Amino acid sequence: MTSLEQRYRRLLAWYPKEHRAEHADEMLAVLLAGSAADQRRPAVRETVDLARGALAIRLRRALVGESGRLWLAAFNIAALIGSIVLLLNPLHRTLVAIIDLVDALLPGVRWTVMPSEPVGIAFVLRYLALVLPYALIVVLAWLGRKKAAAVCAWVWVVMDAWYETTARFRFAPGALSYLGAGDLWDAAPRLLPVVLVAAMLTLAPSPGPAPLGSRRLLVWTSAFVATLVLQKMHFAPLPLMIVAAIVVVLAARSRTGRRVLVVMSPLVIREFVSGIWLESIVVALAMAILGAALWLTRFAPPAVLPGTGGGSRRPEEDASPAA
Amino acid sequence: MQEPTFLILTALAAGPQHGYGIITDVLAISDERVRLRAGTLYAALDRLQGEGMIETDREEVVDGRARRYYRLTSEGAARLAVETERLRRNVETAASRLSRRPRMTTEPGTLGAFFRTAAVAGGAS
Repeated sequence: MTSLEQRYRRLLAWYPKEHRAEHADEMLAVLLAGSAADQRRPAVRETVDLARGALAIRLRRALVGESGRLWLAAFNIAALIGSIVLLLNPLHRTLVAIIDLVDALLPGVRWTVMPSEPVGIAFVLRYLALVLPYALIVVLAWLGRKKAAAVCAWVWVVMDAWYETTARFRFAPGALSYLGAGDLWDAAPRLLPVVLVAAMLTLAPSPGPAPLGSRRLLVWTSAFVATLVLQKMHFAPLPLMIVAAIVVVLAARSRTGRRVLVVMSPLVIREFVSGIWLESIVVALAMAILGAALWLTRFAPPAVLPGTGGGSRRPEEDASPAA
Repeated sequence: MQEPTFLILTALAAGPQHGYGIITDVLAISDERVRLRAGTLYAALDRLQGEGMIETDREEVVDGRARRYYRLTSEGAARLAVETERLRRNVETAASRLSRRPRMTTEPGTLGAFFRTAAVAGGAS
């Protein structure tokens, strides 16, 4: 055994075991046949090429097939759920403003304690104006209009960035967040969720409720909204965290659900952390997940995609009975 | 379909070949332009096998080493045919448009030549 052959064999150790068992000998033969007579060690370009090949085969094995199909389905649901999560905050504020207004108009009925924010039809309309763009994104994503949803989300990112950096004090203070205006760098953490959802809508092959089913997603969204409103009205039977915990436990029971949790993790962690280091970790995590989505949608063979393509348009038919 | 994939399938369209045979064949088909390396080739073979476009034909032992031959499946042949048809249409369109382009027989800088060229090019596109 020549030393060149030994060196090639060492490089082939990067390949998955079962691929090596099947192909190591013939790859070695190809490598040796292509080498110069007096060559002592693998060329750099050859080494890089082998590393790239090994990576491609490992990624394909890890993501393509059943597992890859589930990941794609998870990206599709996560893009929709992400836009719903963005909708929840302004929707909650609008509903609370409406309740406060009704409360003020009917003094005999006191549903809530003293309203924390100014009351009036103008405030309801102001919050409603924030609901509309998010609602539009959700509806488009729900209907499987991927391109339109993504474009709307990015337009909203730009408008949100403009609002965060320049217009905050001229418009509704505290409508999007309680912090003061600043430059784009300061605003970046607050923009992160919208940017994430816009990126997810762009990269997911066909966002929609496909494997979950429209009805179930609608029920859970309503449960969240109801909990938020009931909390305001002080007879919340279930605190929000418990509803969230139930959803997480239910999701963790299915294979797609666990993947959805992973894909959603940057958005969820973002809700609980602050500080530049943790934000950086969230961003890194989000980049990794979005990178994987990009790779998967680009390189996964179309043969593994059936069910996710047209599925979002006919969610009820695709809804699995269990989980 | 990317060019290396197209060339690998084209190499196998003539008949079963082993790894190094594919590399030399692709080099010949592409006029020495595409030199596949082992890592690229075997990643492509792995993917094509996963997609059902190629399959193992037979194994031989040469110099004490297993040499595996690959062949095109009917699905692979169909995909190659579709891609070839697509490329053929592109080539024919490009060729016919190029042939309709006027040669610059008159003096190039004159105004008349410019307008003739612009009119023909506008009509062809």
